[in-house]
Amino acid sequence: MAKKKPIWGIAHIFSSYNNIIITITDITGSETIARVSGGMIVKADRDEGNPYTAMQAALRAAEIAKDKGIEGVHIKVRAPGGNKHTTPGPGAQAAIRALARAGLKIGRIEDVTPIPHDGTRPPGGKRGRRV
Amino acid sequence: MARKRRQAKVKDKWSSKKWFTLIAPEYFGLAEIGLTPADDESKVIGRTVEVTLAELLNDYSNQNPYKKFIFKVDRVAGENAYTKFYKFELMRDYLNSLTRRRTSKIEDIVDVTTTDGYKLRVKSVAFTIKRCKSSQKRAIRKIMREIVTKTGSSEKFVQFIQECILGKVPAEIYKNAKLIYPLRRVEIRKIEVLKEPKVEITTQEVAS
Repeated sequence: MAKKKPIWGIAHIFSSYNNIIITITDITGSETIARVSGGMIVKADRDEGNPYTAMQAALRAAEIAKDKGIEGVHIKVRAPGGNKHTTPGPGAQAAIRALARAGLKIGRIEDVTPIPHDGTRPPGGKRGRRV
Repeated sequence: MARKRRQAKVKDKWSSKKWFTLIAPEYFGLAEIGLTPADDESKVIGRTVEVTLAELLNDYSNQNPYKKFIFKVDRVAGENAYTKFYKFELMRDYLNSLTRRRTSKIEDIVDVTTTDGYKLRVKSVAFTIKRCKSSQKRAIRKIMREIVTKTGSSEKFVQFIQECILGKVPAEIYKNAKLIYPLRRVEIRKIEVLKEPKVEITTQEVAS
């Protein structure tokens, strides 16, 4: 592998309020290089979506990726989407920063939240969720 | 013990993979896009890569970083994986930044067959300065459709793609449609390849 060109990958960051999943793949997105989720970092379920968890997860993923020769990543951030909320959770920001801190180059950042062109009805009924 | 063995196996699998160089189509100057690992040549075929226009041309002016090409691997020769044009898309951030309140967004989707037999689906979009009537929307949509089909069916595939992306077709639409209602911006939002001519592929392979 004596290539002059740096090898780039894609970091897919799925961030909801309850969890974070970081998958680093090659540039085509078909070969997974590293995958880390919130449950692999912390024990309590309620901590899985925290910024701290995201940071740790990103560091771990970055380490594996660097071991395998990845030098930079493009980032695709994603929230649950569909009929759920479309803004990424609290971990997304932290994960991106941690990836940069870990020594990976950051390319373009894109939001790839799935947005329905009208689909099923969101849960909660007509009058919304009554707590 | 069992754990150790499994770990060793996984590492072996990774190191046995070869790196293939992805290469852009001829009409984009056969530029190197990136690398992809695979243990078998046949697994590389069908993979898709995203590249922005800015990266391809090394020119970060205009809206180039927002224009995204998706190439599909067509054939593999040695360590090189040659790709074909598969899709053109505008980034979602850019389109969202154009969409505003109290303005109209006019979208149109047309199927076009180029002179060399490529069947394309072209999705164009126009943004007005203020909210317009639906009759005006219809008229603008008609103009969009006419211009896209006219240029598409009278030109070759590569030429048509170039004109769409470098802004000739949107400019033409803008010029004609602004007589109906003042427009803010016209873009070709998406181009998809539906069908390719079969003869073209074989001649290409022989040539290169």
